[in-house]
Amino acid sequence: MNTREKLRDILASCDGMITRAWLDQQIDALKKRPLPTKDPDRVVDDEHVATTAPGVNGLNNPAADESTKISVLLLTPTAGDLNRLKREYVSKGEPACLRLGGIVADDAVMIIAARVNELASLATLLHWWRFDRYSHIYLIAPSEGPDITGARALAVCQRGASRVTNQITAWPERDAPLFLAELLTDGIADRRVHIFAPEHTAGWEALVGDDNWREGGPKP
Amino acid sequence: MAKRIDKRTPSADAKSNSEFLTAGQNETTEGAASLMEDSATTPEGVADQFRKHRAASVKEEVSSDVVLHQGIAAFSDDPESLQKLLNAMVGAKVLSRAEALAGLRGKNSTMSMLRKIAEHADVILHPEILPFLQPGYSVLYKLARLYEELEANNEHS
Repeated sequence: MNTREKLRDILASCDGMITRAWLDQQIDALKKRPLPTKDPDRVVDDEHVATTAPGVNGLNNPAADESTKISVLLLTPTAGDLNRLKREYVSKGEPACLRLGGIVADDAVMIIAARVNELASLATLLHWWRFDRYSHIYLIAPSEGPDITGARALAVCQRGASRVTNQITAWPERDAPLFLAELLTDGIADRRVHIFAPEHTAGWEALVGDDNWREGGPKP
Repeated sequence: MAKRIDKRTPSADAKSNSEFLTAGQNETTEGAASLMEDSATTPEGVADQFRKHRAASVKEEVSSDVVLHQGIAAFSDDPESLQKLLNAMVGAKVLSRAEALAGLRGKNSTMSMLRKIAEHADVILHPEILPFLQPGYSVLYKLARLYEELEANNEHS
């Protein structure tokens, strides 16, 4: 279902006149979308696993290849992923998305697509992927006002000699995180991994859906 | 069988309402009655005509935004013409004098709102969306915002 069809269904669900206040409620509900109800001890969402496309050779675990270091790491966490990241994890008991930190190259680039307020909370987790700070934070669309708390942004972390080949110096024509990540790291031909990916994409190894949250498997 | 409306004979309700109207208002009411199409003699026909007029008003409103922003783009290299256009919008009670004086440099909330509506004209006027909508800048602006939020949600889910 595309975005317009979703909008149509939301509008059709309104009981009465579609007012500014009602539309505001729908916007707020989307911003604070609750997680699906489930057993808190379960690691895997059945509905996500059922719709997750298998990765290359049936593997959805980039951590399975420990011999090739990751040069570009892209994170596009959902609100649900961000909530799960807030939990405390211990080394060797961490889920796949965090376990990848052990195979990130010493001169790697990490790019995170999130809202500005989400980047603030993610800053305390960068050490899992062996980064310590953001080197650049780009808004990917003009802010509607001085308050950028909820604005969509792209944060870049670098380690060692900078391998970022481009900078974002003007409002980009397209704001898709994958497009912008490829723009920033154009020319880096080494291994690329997309964590919290919505789907598998050519040129990237991807952890999709609840494969990010699987425990066990090879240690970094 | 559903009651049919006889457009030639004012209903009893209309007669009682007319007691509260001035002469001018009465003329307006009669003028509005003449807008009813021949097909609007059944509940379905009236509802269809209501939807048609409402959709047309939303279309006109969005068209006005699109025309305004096309004009702004056309005059972007001509400050004098651009200022004339913005001043005309003050006369049309779209912009305040301060907003017009600030031009496109200032943080102009009205212009931002209208621009967003114009940018999403294709969504607002889509045959699956338009029938739900009523006219009003703030409603259409919020609809565009909701669409953007859904798009952002799609990318993050």
